[in-house]
Amino acid sequence: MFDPITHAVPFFIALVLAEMLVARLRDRRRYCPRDTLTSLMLGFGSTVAGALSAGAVFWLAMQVWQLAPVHIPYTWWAWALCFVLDDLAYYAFHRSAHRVRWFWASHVIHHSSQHYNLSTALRQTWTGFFSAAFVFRLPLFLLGFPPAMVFVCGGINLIYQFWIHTEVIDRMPRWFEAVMNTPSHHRVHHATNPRYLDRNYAGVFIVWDKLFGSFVAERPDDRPRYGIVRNLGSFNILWAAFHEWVGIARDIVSARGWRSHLGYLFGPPGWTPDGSRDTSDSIRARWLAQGGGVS
Amino acid sequence: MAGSAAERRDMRRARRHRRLVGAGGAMNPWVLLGSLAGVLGLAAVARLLGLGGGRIADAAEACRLAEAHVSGFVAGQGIASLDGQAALVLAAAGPPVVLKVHGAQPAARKLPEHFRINIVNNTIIIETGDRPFGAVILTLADAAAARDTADILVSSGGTPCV
Repeated sequence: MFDPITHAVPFFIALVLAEMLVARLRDRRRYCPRDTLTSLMLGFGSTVAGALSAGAVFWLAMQVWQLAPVHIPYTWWAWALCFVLDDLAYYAFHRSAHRVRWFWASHVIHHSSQHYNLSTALRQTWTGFFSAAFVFRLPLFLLGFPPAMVFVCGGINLIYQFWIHTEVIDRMPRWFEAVMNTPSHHRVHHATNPRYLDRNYAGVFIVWDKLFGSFVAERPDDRPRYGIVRNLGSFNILWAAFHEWVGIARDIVSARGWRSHLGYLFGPPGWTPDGSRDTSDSIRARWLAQGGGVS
Repeated sequence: MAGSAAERRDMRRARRHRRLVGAGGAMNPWVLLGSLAGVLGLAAVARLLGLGGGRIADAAEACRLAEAHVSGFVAGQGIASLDGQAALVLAAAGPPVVLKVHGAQPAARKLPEHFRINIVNNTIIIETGDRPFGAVILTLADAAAARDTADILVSSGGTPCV
């Protein structure tokens, strides 16, 4: 299948190099060689995992597409509509990937770097197929969009998201910031500051966050701190890829009762039966109680 | 020859579809090797450019970082390692937090109720109980400072290794 991401790889490499040069001139801490290697190796592993599961995903997509009451043709309007709807499906997936531990276990890999640069964009999941992230695209096939069209749109969507993983660009023009996902909006998404936690899920169009109440603007007085609530403190790529799955397995083994099992699997990350761990909501609530939201 | 304009359009669409669908998800080994070379090359460039760094400047910064990284933590006294690569922050109430520079950024752990410490001359090695995170090594001014800090840690749940 035509894969736009493969064709974009030379541009990815060129832009990472350019950003490294800027980091050398402005702030060397924007990159760390070991973190970069970890991110890129995780991206490499993700490519391999994606290739191994691509056939099964495409087969499944074809099966669902054949159930569609109409088959949408390859026309310009179908491409445009498919791109917009695929981005909406991405929003739904991405929101779930932060709010449901099962999907978070797969997605956390992308957030596990404490750096925010173009190499972070390539730090991608190894377990997307296992977590069944593809289910969020199934409605598009049921609507009749050809699987190849949907996957090409998804590839373009991912390519778009590459350039927004940077601190080099401060703000884009106002009209662009209003409609599109930008480096500023996505820095918020990668931040662990209580104000920013679990916000700005958009892929390409930030309007989804504004529409569904998950948008927060970046503020100059609250500089983003990147990473996850409990940072790994390790460059071990296997640990980065699987640590949340290990955590789920440990919790499931020690859990008692079906409610606990379901909570550990499908509750928000950090959920426990006794509330002894932090979730995004509890962190934000504590911060608000301490007067954090005032100003 | 295809007849009507509609038929020609359908054939064009079918060709486009075939191009898009292509050969499924097969992966070219040369692309794989090229990607791996690119990965290693970029990491090498980052090293050659001298990127990275990062340090915890002093006790005040350690306290600020601990409060930022551990939700609800209220810092009391901070002790920064002389090499700027680690710090210990005692809580106003509850277990202390340790910090280490990971990459170019600080990473934090609240210490468990019981933890182990090891004193070697002017350094204290604090086991965080989190194997992937590892131990945090504080380098202090001298052996006396290390002993004083160890005493504080023992009162916070630390057990010295014999």
